[in-house]
Amino acid sequence: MPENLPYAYEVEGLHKQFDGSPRPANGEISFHIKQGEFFGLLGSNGAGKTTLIKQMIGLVRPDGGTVRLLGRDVFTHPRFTAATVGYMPQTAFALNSLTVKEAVYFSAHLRGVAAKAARRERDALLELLGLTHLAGKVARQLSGGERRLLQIAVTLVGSPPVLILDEPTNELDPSRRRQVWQLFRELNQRDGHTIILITHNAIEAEQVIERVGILKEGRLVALGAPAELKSSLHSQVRLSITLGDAQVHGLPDYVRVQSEHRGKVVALVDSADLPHLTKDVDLTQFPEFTMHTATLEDVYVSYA
Amino acid sequence: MSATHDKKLGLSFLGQVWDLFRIQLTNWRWSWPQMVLTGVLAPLVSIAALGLFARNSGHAATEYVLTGSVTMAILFETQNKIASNFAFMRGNGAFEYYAALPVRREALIFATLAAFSILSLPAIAVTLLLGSALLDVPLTFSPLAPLCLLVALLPSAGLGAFIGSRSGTIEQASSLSLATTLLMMAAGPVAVPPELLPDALIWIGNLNPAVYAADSLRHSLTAPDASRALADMAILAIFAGAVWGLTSTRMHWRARYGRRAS
Repeated sequence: MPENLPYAYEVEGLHKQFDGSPRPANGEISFHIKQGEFFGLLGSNGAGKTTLIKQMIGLVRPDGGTVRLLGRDVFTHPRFTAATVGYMPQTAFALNSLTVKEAVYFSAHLRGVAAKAARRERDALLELLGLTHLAGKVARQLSGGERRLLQIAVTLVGSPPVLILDEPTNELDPSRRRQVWQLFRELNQRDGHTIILITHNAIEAEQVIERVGILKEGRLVALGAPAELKSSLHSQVRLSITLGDAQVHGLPDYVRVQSEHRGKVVALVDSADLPHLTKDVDLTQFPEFTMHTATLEDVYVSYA
Repeated sequence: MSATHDKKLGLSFLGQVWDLFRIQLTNWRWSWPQMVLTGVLAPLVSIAALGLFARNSGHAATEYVLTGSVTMAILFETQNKIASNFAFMRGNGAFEYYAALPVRREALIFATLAAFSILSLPAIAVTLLLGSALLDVPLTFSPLAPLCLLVALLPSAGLGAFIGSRSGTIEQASSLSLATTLLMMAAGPVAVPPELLPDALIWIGNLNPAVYAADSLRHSLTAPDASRALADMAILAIFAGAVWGLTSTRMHWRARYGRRAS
């Protein structure tokens, strides 16, 4: 980033505790996001991601600390913040009684796009997201995935320079997911949008994000490029095992199981223990067995 | 990408109101006939029930029943509907959606008021015309009537917005607003002449905007009296200012440092 450009976001000492809550939703959080950066925010449910984001767009007031957007305080420049940031919440769609084309048009027009340009931009976005054939359909009649695509269109229309996307690919089928990730990549790399992505899906996020912050119990416990964070787990290896007839409790203690679902196990092993593993476990008993270096998801799970 | 994005900070205030007004009307494009039906039902029942007794109490009493019933239609169509609408918007994330756009909360409040005022007109007109025929009360429209009607709508619409924006659920907002409507109809000479009410209720009625709304309608629709209609409107405007001010400061919207808890 050139020296003279302000950061997209400067978050300093942000603190928020809701009445009646035993611990802060956000505790002394500080980080910067550069303009044009693709930043990921990971954290389990209740980690404080939504509270942090709502403070970053000025919807929730902090008890302490500051948030600056492109050099301006978000709470003293609310209109600037609203015009600069496109926010896609994870919650229900607010314009459910409007048709697809009305929802996108009004969102563009309320962002200050002239009526003619708003219609043009709406049509282009609907085409891009494969929603043109649904343009006249009322939003509440759409499937979950279609509504998610509409929410993406509503967020992108008007081309706000900063995009905050909360679980944008939830409910999308795999091919739509790929299409949407490609779109976000282009918006970031080709058009220079700053993108802040909130997600649980570390594996998908790893494909696009440049830096990641991991929140745990309201605190930022890790911040850096995925490769940097993964280097902290370099001494570990990730195992993906399909158990077949084998039992998970038959694995040695040094195999640290991170998840088990329908006979598929993901585990971490210290690389020093690998020679023992090949001796202690008959790996041929498993229908499927893969081993690779740690992923961003392993980093996420190690902090969670 | 612009570093500051200064040139495009959204629409003018009136532009926001116009867009939000159209969004609100669009939301009701399929269900407005049901709205009219429900809005007419209670006032017509009131006309039928109170009209039976009022006929024996003279012309003034039937005028009270008619304008009181129109006031009831206003309360049902604006206060109750706006309370439910605001609670619904709060629940489905619409407040958050609009607050995250360059939109002022006052624009949303004005647009909602305007949309529900338009939507309430059929119910008010039906109540007025049918009531006039059923009660045999001739209508004498004063030029002040449209203004009286508008000003009569303001406090109840504001009260609905306040109840809806502060209620946790749509059910809570609906019951609270319905209870308020019934209290406002009963507290003072709204649909019943003061001669037939105890002194305590007449005194309480001085604090009830529905009394002034019914009065202003009476002084502009059935027994025109410009000076009294203007006096009623002035008091209604004060009520409206207070309740709209309260709503716009207490409604959840964007956070500001000035409102930070200590």
